[in-house]
Amino acid sequence: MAGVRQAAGELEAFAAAHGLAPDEIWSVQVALDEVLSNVVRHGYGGEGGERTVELAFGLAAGVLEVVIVDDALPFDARQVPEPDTETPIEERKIGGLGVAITRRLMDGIEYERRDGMNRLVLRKRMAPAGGAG
Amino acid sequence: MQIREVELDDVLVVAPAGRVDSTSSTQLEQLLFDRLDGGSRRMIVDLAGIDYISSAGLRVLLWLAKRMQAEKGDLVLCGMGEPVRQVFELAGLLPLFAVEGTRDEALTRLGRKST
Repeated sequence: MAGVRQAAGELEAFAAAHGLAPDEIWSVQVALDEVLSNVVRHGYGGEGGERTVELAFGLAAGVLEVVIVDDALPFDARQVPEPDTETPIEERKIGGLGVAITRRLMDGIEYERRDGMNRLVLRKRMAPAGGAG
Repeated sequence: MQIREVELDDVLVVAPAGRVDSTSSTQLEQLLFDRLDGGSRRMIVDLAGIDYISSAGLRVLLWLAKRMQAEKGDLVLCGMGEPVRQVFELAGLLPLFAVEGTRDEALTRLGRKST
């Protein structure tokens, strides 16, 4: 999971370089953590070893964009059913939460499977420049 | 992530600080596991120092709540900032926890005179 932490640092650095405050990007940090930890945990069918995930950040027209490209098993977060949030705590299954949180925190999610790679784009509108909080 | 602990009579207050994400949540899980194993049955998790929490952190707290319920213990969460509260809400987990605003309120809920 060291790479996941590194990715969080990269996003932080990108945000700082573009004048984005931590309280604006936390939702993207959470979404990135969800996506990457999913790739690490489930993406390679239990196979160990070093894997490369490509990350790219962009900011255009007030929208922060994170592109995540990996060669893990195909996984379209948009197709995962909503988790069960009605069952009592003793019976509640702990799963599917990360995907639900990602979908709800982001303003847009794009997914494409191409040439054996997953390409996921997360988009989040940032507060207008100079705006508080 | 740093984790502070304070013991007030029979109430253990655990206060993680920083991010509770997929990397750091194992550290919190280990500590909570050890404390449960050590007999702590009345616990407050003070989230005031948390910048944000991802589902990995939620899983740890949900696991703790389930264990506490099974052991007939008490667990109160407090100090939720907006990012933390939002993630709990989006995951639909807020109703499953006893939540108070401040640590003092959490202590009061556990029937202990606040400091």
